[in-house]
Amino acid sequence: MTEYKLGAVEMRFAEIIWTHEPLSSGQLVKLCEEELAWKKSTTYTILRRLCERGIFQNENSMVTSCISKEEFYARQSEAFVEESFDGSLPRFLAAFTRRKKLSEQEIAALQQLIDDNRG
Amino acid sequence: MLHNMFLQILNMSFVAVPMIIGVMIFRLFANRIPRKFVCILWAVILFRLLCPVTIDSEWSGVMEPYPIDAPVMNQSMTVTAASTEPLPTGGVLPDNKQNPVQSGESISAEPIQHDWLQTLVFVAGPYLWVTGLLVLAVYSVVSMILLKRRLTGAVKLRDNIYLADHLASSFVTGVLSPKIYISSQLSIEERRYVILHEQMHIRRGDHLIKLLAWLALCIHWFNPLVWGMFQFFGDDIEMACDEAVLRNAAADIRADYAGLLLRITAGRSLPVGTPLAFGEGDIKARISNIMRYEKPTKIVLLLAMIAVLMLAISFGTNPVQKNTELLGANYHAREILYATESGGFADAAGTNGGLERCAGAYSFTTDDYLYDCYGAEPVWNELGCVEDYPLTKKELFSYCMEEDGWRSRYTMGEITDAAILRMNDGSQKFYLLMQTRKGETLLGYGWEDVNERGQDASDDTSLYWLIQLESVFDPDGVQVNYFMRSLRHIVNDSVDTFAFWENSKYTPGYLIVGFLADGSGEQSDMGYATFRWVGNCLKMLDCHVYPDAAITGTGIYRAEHPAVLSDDGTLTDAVTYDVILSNNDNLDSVVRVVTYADGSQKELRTQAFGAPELITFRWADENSFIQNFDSETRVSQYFYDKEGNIIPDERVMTIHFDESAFE
Repeated sequence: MTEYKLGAVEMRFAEIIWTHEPLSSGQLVKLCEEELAWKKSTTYTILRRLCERGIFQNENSMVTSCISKEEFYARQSEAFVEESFDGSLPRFLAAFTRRKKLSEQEIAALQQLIDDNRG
Repeated sequence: MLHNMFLQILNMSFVAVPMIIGVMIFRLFANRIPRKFVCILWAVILFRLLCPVTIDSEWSGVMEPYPIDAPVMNQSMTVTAASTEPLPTGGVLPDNKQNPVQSGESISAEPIQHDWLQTLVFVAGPYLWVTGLLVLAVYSVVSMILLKRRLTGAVKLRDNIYLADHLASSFVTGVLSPKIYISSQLSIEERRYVILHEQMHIRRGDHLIKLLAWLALCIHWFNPLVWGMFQFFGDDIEMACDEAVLRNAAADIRADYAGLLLRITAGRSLPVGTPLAFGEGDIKARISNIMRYEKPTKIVLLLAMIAVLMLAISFGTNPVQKNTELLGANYHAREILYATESGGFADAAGTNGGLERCAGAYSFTTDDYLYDCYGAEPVWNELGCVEDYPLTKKELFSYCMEEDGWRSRYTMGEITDAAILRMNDGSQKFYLLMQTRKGETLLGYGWEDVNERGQDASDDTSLYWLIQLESVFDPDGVQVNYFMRSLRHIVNDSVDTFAFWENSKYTPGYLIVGFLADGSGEQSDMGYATFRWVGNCLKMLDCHVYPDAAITGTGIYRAEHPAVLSDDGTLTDAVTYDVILSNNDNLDSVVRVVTYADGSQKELRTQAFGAPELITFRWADENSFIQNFDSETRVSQYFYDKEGNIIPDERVMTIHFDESAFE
């Protein structure tokens, strides 16, 4: 499920929580400032996103995890989802500007080209 | 204002169309040359799409005439029905003089039908255009905000490089302090090339170019070719950036670099339309380009540079505007463009036969008199003095009523200067003399519906014929009779011209012509006039008349204020020419002695060849004399007869130069 997919930066953030939980949100802001150079608002934004995904919870300024680190890694490997950078494109523009995926054959041909040169 | 802006944008858009197609074709064959040259061409087009101010050059390849013009509005709405008004000129948008960018247009000789589609485009068009522009502007802002939100939580790697989650591709964003965002999923080894690539974008200023390209796309959103250009330009920027990375690399990293590109993009569909950041572009083309890459040899670079420079100048500039001022010249008909088969033509031809008159010669003097000359025994007839007359090409075409009167499909330039001559004989006939932006001179002859002048709806005014004239002036030899005709209206008498002075070495582009009124030698005026060559025509700049100078038969005259011309043809106060006019039979030579402050002297001698005689000195070109001129310099002038005696003349001068005259 998408909830269990975290980016590398989010992973570092999650590690901080798993390592120190339970911890107050104020502590978390402080830790994130030290380790990630994040501003307070950034920390709260990311925390809110991960809470919405059901990984952590923030109750009475106390941050705790909903699933353990081990459980998370187990679930993550089951649900690989393609990262994408879209959604900001209106459909009609996307249709115009989006290129086709490279097909398997195309990838193979390009790889061949590169390998030939490498030899 | 919106209307004019829209028209301007429309014209800029249309001008770019053949260029975009050209570069699209060029880039197909540009495999061997560095991609940055293709980018330069795109940048030139980008400049044309964005900059309403253009540069003129002789080497312009921009097609003229331009295609877009507003339709003629209903003239009866805009022109008051005053019978004293000249033919209607109002209601035509845009006025070319107010809108210099719209420099010319293409209308075939056949009058154009303004159908509902065109009207729709010009009525609703500007509003549609602005709406589209706003939509894209809002989209730009929204997508930027969404992008910013997505980047929340990005972690600084070093310098201006940030790692962010959930990015499909790395990109550069920001204008003044651009930041590189790369996907946090990349391995450290992968990051190396990605960062190299993005840093190269910033070094090359690609992030700014891309922003401008997006701006052009927002403005020209209605032009599908601009969309295509945005796409291809983006690809070419990526490829040029790849090449720059490879060029700067110490070793051959092609395979590693291309392999990375393939690895990080394989299997994903790639959004490339994100306006203010970079996508990967066309991965297939990029990988092929990378693997094909070799450091270009000097000769390839040189050839590519020359080709691109030529194309860039050709695209980036507008054709030099030809002289578009109606100037005096002798003309003959070069081509009959339009001639009616009706009685009008026979009538126009008078008793001298039809085409003969068309094929005759015309003369348009610098003081605006029109002459014609035709028939078996050519005689110059003065037709009259023309007056300025505002006229558009559309109006001209509206006077050409017979569809089959056109002799050829003919693309005429926009009329820039026009004059009308209405015959005074009650015939209601008129001549139209026109100059176009392309430098053509046209003459039309027709019948004016005097009673309905200014009433467009029922205007029966029509042309019998329209011809293109060709100047028959030869810069190396001037037809003296032309000066006679040009000067007679000023002296108010017929004149003989004599000893006109033309010396291409000293006065390129200038002619000085002496004249004697009436030619009788008794009780007549003498004088001289200066003319300037403008293209193939002559423009009279200055005229000096000495009343009754010829009566004595012995006089020597010089200009009270020397005829002085600056390079642009305007009169100045600087001392450039001195003109001496002589009606003295004994005059043999004129000597000028220049005495410098240190006492040294130099002599300038000019031989006279008879009377009347015109002698000119152009000081500015006498470098050996002028170099040492200062306020202490004196010039003395002496006249000698054939025996070497000095001719006494109380007007013999001493010229005091002040330095300002030679700045």
